[in-house]
Amino acid sequence: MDNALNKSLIKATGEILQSMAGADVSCKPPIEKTIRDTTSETSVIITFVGSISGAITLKCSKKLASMIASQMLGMDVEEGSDDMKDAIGELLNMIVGTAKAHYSSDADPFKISIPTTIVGEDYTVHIKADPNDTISLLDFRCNGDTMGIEVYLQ
Amino acid sequence: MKSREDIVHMLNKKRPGGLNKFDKPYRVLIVDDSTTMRRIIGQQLKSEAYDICGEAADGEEAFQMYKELEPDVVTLDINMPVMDGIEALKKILDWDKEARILMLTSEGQKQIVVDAISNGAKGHIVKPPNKAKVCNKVKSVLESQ
Repeated sequence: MDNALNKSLIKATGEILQSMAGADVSCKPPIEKTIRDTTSETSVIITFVGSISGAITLKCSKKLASMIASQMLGMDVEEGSDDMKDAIGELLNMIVGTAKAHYSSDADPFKISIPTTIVGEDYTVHIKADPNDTISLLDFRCNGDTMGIEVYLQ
Repeated sequence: MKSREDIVHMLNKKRPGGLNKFDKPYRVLIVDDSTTMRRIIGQQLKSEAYDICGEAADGEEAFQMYKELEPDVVTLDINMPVMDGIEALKKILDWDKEARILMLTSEGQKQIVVDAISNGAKGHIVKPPNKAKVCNKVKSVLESQ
């Protein structure tokens, strides 16, 4: 578990959700769990490589994703629509980009991928890792709903 | 025909940032490979009466649209497919050395900002875009003619 990265992500998530969606966010203390396949109505995945490498996954309900997207875009966004997928992908992109700046004074501690957004009811997200590897779970509360960010470090 | 007083009043009255002294909207070309980002910036500027005359998703498209639309100002993302923002900046400025271009950057991209400014960008906006900062930066670039 990288406490500095977790702190940066928690700080960035609060900042971005407040500035882009006017949402207040709280986060429980991070916990570490053995890596396992996960699922959610909406998942966004960004991978990163550099002085540290791994993957960051955001998970939330379609309802929360469309609410955030609606606030970001200033219009009603339908659950599961392309607008929702684009917006929630961009949200994680901004969170990780901002967290990167908080994390290190190095000019470019790691490079991040474009976000991949998955929406559905019958899929799992599997990250290729040693079965004994762990992930950090950041459990947020946002507008009465839950949102999780999982951090896997190689 | 407007009287002298009417003209003076028109020139001095408070108006949304996106309107020039003749109450005509400034025209903005928004360039970013993210649809969401283009929409957010577009909305922020439209709320101040700017006219979003075009949107482009990569540097090459930005250059072609610049030639066609001749916008008053361009907001230009850095990381884009086909042609990135720095190359697009150079190409547009080769075409029109008076082009007013603001780069869209992320936190921690100081060197990129330095490169962009040294290549002729008029300034930069750090993502995530804050409405007040976006509008103020665009306005200041337009007013420093």
